[in-house]
Amino acid sequence: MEESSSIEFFDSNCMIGRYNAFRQGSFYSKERLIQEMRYYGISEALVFHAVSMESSPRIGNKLIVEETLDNSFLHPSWSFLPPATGETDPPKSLVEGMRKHEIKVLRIFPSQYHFDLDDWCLGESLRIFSELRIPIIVDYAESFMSRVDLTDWSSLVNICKMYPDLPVVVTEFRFRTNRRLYQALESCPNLHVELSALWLFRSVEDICRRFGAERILFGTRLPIRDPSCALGMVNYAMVSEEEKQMVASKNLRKLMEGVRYG
Amino acid sequence: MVEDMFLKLAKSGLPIVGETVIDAHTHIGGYFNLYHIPFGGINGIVEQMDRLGIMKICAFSFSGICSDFVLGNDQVMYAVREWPDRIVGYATINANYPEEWIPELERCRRGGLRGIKIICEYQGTTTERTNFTPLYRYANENHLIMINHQWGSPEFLDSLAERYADACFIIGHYSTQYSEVLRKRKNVYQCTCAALMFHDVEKLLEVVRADKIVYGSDLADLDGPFGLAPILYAKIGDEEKRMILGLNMQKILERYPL
Repeated sequence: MEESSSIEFFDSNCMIGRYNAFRQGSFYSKERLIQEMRYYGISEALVFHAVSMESSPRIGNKLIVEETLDNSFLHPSWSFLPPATGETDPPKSLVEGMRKHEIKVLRIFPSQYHFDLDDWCLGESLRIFSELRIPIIVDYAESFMSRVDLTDWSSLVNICKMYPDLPVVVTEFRFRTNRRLYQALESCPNLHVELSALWLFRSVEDICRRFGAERILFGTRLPIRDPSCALGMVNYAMVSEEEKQMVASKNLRKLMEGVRYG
Repeated sequence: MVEDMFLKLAKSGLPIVGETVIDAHTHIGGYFNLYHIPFGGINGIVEQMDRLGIMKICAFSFSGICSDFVLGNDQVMYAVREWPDRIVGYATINANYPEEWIPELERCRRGGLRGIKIICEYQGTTTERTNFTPLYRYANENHLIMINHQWGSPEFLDSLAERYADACFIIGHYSTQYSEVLRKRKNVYQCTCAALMFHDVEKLLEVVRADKIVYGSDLADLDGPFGLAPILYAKIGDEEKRMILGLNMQKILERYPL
């Protein structure tokens, strides 16, 4: 166990843009996000646009690229929907756009957009993303942040098993069901969990011990949640300095570097 | 003490030393239907207390939430006997066993427990719908601390605090809706558990004085740092943090002794 003053934090769960359930005292602008990251000691962040979560991934994807053009420490992530409606580009075109804009991570909101994380719904997309090793953050949180666990664990595990080369990161507003989470982590080596959803006692230590530090990604869910919760869980975890650093930034960076755009 | 001392400790992951840190809201027992509790035994809890620099915890049982509350109280009494300097034990009662409330509270007081935990939302009812009058009277007569998962409306809590002025009422979970009651009643306190939304602690300080706020983490339900870090990182003064982290709860424990 070591102190954490040198830990570098790369936040995998940040949002920019006006969102529906805005709370007074919070914020939505890129400028304020950067200011808060400085205060809390977070050096980089993977960001998505609130419009991607709440109304249109196509528009949100465009907006997040524009928002992040002028700096190197905010990394845009894109979102997509099942292709049949045409609301987002077909997977091959989507990948071309991602390559062009150096997008390394995708994020989906099955609960928010009312679709299933199943092969019949997303198979064509997942096959391509799996071939390219594009990490997918599966975010079951809804914009009003339900207090119950919304994750469809059966579908999540099925997809992880069906596409073992696809890096999958699961998140939520809060996992109250670590029995399902642990079983899923045990069953699926390609499954990772994002920290802002993990509130339970000594979770970081326990997951590091049972499944390895490479399975947890640091995330805050700024600007909805207070980043101190996730920061404290890493800084005070009774694990090695190397394990803390893996959780804090190395795991996300490794997933992003693993993308095979050629 | 330098300003931002607590922020620096949090960023470095260092325990808080030389300060009074008392966690006003914790659970012990190690077993729960909702989820598995890793390191949930009392030694695992004390280990994390040492890691964070928590001197004492006010603790009640997991079993008392939605299982056998008597079994849970036995576990708390055992923990208090094992760690008398680190654990302040509270008895939990179940709203569905009114005939057992007072005998159980008597038994728990004899066993060294000095407060009462109410969490009837997990027992199919609410505080306002349940006639807890015998319990309130008992707490009032014996100068006990009561911490409740939810006290109901501010008006309801205000009437209780006025009528049972010798008991202490702690609002168990983070809220900003009780500011008037907190201002008006000297026997009512607000717990920070679980101040998890952006700048919750700062927002609370806008409407509630720091001397009416006590720190609570919900460990070993939630992770200790999850509840502690929002106070350490908060954009408020170190003196306010010091009061919230432990000085206020220390005064409460002195004012409502066993």
